[in-house]
This record gives sequence, C-alpha cells and structure tokens, in this order.
Amino acid sequence: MRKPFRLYVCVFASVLVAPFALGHHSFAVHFVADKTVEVKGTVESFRFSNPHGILTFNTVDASGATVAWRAETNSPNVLRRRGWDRDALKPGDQITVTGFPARDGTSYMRISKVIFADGHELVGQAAPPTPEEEKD
Amino acid sequence: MTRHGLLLGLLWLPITAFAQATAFEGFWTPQFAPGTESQVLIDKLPEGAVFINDAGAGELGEGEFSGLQLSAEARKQVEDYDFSTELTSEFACIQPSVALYMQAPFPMEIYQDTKLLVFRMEYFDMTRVIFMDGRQHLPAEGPHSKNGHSVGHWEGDELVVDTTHISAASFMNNGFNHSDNLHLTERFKLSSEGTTLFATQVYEDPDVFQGIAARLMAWRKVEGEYVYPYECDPSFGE
Repeated sequence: MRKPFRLYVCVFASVLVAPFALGHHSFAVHFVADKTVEVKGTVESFRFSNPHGILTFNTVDASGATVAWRAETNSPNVLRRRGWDRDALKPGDQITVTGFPARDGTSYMRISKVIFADGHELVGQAAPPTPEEEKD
Repeated sequence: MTRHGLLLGLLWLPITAFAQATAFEGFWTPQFAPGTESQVLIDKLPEGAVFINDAGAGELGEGEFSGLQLSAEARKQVEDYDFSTELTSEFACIQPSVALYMQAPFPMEIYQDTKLLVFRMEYFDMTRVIFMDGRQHLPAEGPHSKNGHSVGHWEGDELVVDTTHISAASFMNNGFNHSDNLHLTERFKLSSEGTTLFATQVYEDPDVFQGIAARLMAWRKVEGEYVYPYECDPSFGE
C-alpha cells in the first residue's frame, strides 16, 4: 500500500522546500531567503573556519557615519570547492558584498557574492541546482 | 548435489560476499534531485510515513515540522527554544546526530568490508561504523552517541541498517529535537549504473512525535575527490 506515502510527498514537497541548507544553524530561521542586500565597504577581518567563515567590513552610510557589518559564509569546505581560501579576503580590500539579510534587522548577512575592486568575484551562498541541472 | 556442484557453490559464496563488499565504497557527494530510480526505496517505506522534505537543498523554517504530530513535551521544548543561542560559541560546534547529518549537503567517503562499513562524513568530521557481523545492539544501558549503534545486513543488493542508542539532538535543524529513544532504520541502494547511491531513513520516536517519519536522500559518485577535515571552530560565535 504505497499511495498514501506518495500523497504526503506531493503535499509537503510544494510547501516545505526552502532555498538552501548549508549551515549548522538554520538558514531559513535566521535569514530572509527572498531578499538580498548589497553593501560596499572595506574589509576589516576575515576568518575562514567551520561552521561558517566570518567577514567583518566597514561601510559609510548616508549621514557619513561608519557602519560595521558582519557577514557569514557557507561552510569553508563548500567554498573551497568554489575557489575560496583563507586568504581570499584581506584587510583593506575594497569590496561589494551581496547577501541575504538577517531576519532581526542587524547589520548581518549570509554572503551570496563578493565583488572586488578589480572586478573578480567569489560566489558564496548559491542557489541550489534545479532538477534539470542535476541531470546535466 | 555433485562434488563439482558443491565446490562451485562453496566458491560462489565468497565471490558474492566480495561483490557486496565493494559496491558502496568511494566518494559520494549529495545529489539534490534523487531521480526516478529512488522510487524503489520509497515504495518500501511504511504505510503512512510522513515525509520530511529537507534533505540536501531543502530546509524547514521555524514552526514547520512536515506535518508530524508532536508530543506535548516536544511542543513545549520547541516553544521554549531560543534561536539566538545558535549564533553563540557554545552552540557553534555541537555535533548533529545521524538523524540529521546524513541529509546535510556535504560529501562522504564509504569504506567497506564484509564485516564492517565505515561512513566518513565531511560534516562535523563524523565517522559512522555499521557492524555487518551479525552482532546484536548494545544493551539498553549501553552508551548513547550522536552516531548511535548501527547493525546492518544485506537484502539482495540493498543494505539495511538498524540504529539505536542515538543521543538526543536536533532532528530538523529548527529547534525540534529527537529523543534518546529514536529508532532509525535505513535502506541504501545503488542506481542501475552504480553512480548514484539512494537511501531512505525511517524514524520512530514516540517520545516526541506520533507515527513514523521518513527522509529520502541521494549521493552521486565522484572519482578522485576526498572528504576534507571540518575542524569546527567555536570562535564563529564570538
């Protein structure tokens, strides 16, 4: 008797799949998955260790005040396979960081992408592949 | 049976064992879309099992439990859960249990012998041992751990694993924990081409939810890749 189980799959698959699950703590609970922020700033520090790397950087707001941002990466194990390493970001680097903002409204995000002054990029939190892409 | 028949039969036994012993060995990376061949395992899930659709790329949010009916004790635990503690040093390196880490989007290596399988998980450097020598589970008072105590056997080309003695830990990575009494049953099976490994996990834990829950997961075989150390650093929470 298998049909009841298939029904469960259909019902829940449509409502419960959040975009990504790449951390020890829940992404869905702590970050807004359907919104991104983009912040330009200067790197203060970068720590590349599990469960998440941490980037701190400063930016200047409209009033001229300095705003300190903290941004977490996916697991370095995941990012290592995307070309990151512990020296990927250095203090003083001018960067533009795109990421998913924290639900609590603090200056905290999950990094989606970092663009450097010379134009090169590092990809962080990536969208999961679609079933079609998985077949490729 | 003739003498030749007996001899062939005796020779066939170790050959079969060897074929099973080498089947799953290798590096496996998560495959977010399991594919249609996984239906074979889905069809073997218990009737009425509630499907937890958070494996690989999925994730459940706060207050989402896949339709499971939580016990009063579990509901209280969830209501009291403080998500802000998840961003602290004390929380950062708490290991997940086998009921969560198998579905995490990290690769694993499998080593295999006729009496033992070892799953080396990249996520939190967890190492899982599955005894295939016919032993029984630990006595009830035996130690619990995040990996639990696993015994397995073959049903044709499917590996069936029974795990008990799993320490209470997060079940869905959203504030809902399973108990020390979780009973886990898994089935592992290779795709017809041997390049994808499918698995189902079936959970029974009447202390925290009614009925039976299940997950489906899949991994793709990759040659020449390795599991990297995780080496969790609690300073993340500082």
